Amino acid sequence: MCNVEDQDLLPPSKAKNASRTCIKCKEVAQIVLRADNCYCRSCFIAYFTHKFRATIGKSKLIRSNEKVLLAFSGGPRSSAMLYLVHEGLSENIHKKLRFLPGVVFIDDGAILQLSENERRNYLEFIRTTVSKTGFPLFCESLGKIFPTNQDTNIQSNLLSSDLSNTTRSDATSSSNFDLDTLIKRFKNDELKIVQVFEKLPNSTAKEDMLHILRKKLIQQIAEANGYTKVMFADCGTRLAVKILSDIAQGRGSSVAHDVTFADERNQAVTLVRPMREFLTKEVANYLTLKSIDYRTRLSLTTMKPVKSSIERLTENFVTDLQASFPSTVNTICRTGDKLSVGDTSKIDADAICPLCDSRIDTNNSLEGKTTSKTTSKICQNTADSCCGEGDGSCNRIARINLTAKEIEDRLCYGCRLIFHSNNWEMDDLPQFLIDAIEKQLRRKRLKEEIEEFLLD
Amino acid sequence: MPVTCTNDCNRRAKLKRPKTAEKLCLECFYQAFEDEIHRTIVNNKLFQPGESVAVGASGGKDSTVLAYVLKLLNERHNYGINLVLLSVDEGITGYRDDSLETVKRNQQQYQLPLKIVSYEELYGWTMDAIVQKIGMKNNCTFCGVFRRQALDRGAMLVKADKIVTGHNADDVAETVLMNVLRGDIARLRRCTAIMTGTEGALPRCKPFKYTYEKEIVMYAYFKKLDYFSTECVYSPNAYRGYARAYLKDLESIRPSSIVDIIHSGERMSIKKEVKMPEQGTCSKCGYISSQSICKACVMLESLNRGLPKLAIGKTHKAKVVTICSNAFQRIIYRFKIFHELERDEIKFV
Repeated sequence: MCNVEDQDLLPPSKAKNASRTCIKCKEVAQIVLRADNCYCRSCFIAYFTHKFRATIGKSKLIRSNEKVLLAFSGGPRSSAMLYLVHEGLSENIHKKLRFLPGVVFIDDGAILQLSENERRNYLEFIRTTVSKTGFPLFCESLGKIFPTNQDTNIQSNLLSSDLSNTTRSDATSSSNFDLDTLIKRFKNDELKIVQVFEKLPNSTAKEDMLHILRKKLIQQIAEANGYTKVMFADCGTRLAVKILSDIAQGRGSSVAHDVTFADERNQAVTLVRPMREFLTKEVANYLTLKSIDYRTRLSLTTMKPVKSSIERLTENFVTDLQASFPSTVNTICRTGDKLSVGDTSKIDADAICPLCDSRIDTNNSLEGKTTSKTTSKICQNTADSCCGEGDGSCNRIARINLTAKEIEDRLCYGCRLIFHSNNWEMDDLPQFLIDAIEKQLRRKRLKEEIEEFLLD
Repeated sequence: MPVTCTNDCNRRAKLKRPKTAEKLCLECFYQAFEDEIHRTIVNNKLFQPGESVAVGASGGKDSTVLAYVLKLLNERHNYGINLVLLSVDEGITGYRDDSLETVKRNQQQYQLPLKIVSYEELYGWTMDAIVQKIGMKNNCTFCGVFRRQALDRGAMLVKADKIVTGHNADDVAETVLMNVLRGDIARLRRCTAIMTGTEGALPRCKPFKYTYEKEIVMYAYFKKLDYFSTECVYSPNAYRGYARAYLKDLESIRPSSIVDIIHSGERMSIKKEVKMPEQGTCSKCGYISSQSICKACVMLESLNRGLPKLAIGKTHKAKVVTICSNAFQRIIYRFKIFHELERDEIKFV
């Protein structure tokens, strides 16, 4: 995650700023955004709030009384977003926001290896912050993406009453929100996911997987509770990092989806990014001026060396470059804006990666990779070769009747990299993924049966 | 403990392949390296039998290995192409003169014809002279623009049908990153193409598009190929340095990153409504250009007029100067005619 640090804030040297005035109202400036762009406190807040509402308004995407879920992590960006939405809904405001917000928090403490105490404190913070706004709160552990009972229907699991009742904290009923039972339930859900993450080959794959699963779970919760939009608080700096790290991880075809205002890959739930016009620095300024409380987000690579993962390296690269070339983030984001998501209406359901919902981009030419693989014979997928041999792990594969090769073939280029060179088994995959692949394969078989009767 | 080659040849492994991390013996490495390039050539139909192909040869590792491998594959797989070495002499003392010596030795070793074109004969300026004018900063812009055209002109002189360059996977990946960082959407779209300029101009291709720089170095090292390795004496492009460092770090985290970036570059599509520069021809020299006057002409004009800084900054400023000078001349000309007409009329009256 991007670092928001206090050193971005003014005033570093008072003598220099003494003569500076706000470019709007000519009062004494408090904030320097860039070079001579100085703002006073109230003008900056007005500018920031306006930009946020303008980004939402410009898109004309969110209708009035639509249910919108805010993805809230407690970190700086989503705290700012929560505050902005809360403020935008209050009665006496000009250009009031007109949607019905809910808040979702995904606890990934198990993967970050936080202690029970840390997790309780964090949840407590989330609960108090959200209860101030009066929005409904959904808390769920990331482990929920792997259903504990081997029931294949994940939807029913999410719809189960305990989610909507015990974890929902309205302003009135927040007292029955018992953290201890919640954590206990979370722990129960998490046995599987911890195992799966341990098996992933490196931090790069883990981070990538974490993002995908978190997004997936949020979408599932949104869908199960009748929300049609989810707001993510990605700011411009974060998106610039995302663009570069996507490219570095072979996800060129989904870059456009990952940075546009509205990501409509999932038909039921659209992801929106209303904070995309801000820099990390601006968010930090806003938080300080409004004295909004937030928690520093930990990630898998916090306190690790720069080169511990692609995302961490990219973040460092962009931040450093931004320091010497202040237009870096903007240029990268504008490049991302010019990329096309392609014609989404024409995509066949079979041509979608079941893990990340992007279009499959591995069809014809995988030259760079496959060429080198075949010439040097490293294509020895252990799971593939052992399948059907009759030992324990294979029985499980036989039950679902999918081979590792079949699964890999269904994934997009970027998602294949997550599992690459990893001895994974069917059990290590989230159920939604297996379901989706099975469905695709069934459709494929059906299509083969009727092939000869199909025109064109 | 000696490691055996993972390719089941029972020989001792001598190296770890940078691209796939497998341990190979020299023979298997050569085989894999050459086959990969052969496959790239065949899959992309880079060459047609009977074609004359100019190899852009700088004397550096990439082009030396390229010339060597292409000659080898041409004989092994009967591509039926005629190879010519083509070098550009930028006129950089202490760098290009030495590397050209290497190219000349390569010509002897590989028995290929060699053609050298120089900036001096094409433009009337050596890089040394240009650097004297504009200083150590930004001179790479001149060199790069001029070299691109010089290669094309040289290839036309030797009647080549195609130019091949030694751009490797690292170079392509780096260019993808650079174009994202610079917001150069037109180049971002075409930089991953293995063959460019198929319509009109001389096609150029990069047979090393998927070949890792490290493997090229390894190949040259074990084959004991004669190549020249010195940095250009003039300052390297600083901004590109950031991208390069980032790429190297990525490679150390996940070796497949380089190919992954190329894959990303190939799969990014540009929105239809984004305006793209249209490729036309330069009104001055007839060379392909997206502007009315090509960059090389603008730069040459600015050099000749003693205002070299103009060409590096905002393009439109420099173009205005060029166009203005033309327009100004036209105005003077018309004025003269008008004047003469007037005189005639006066006489007439």
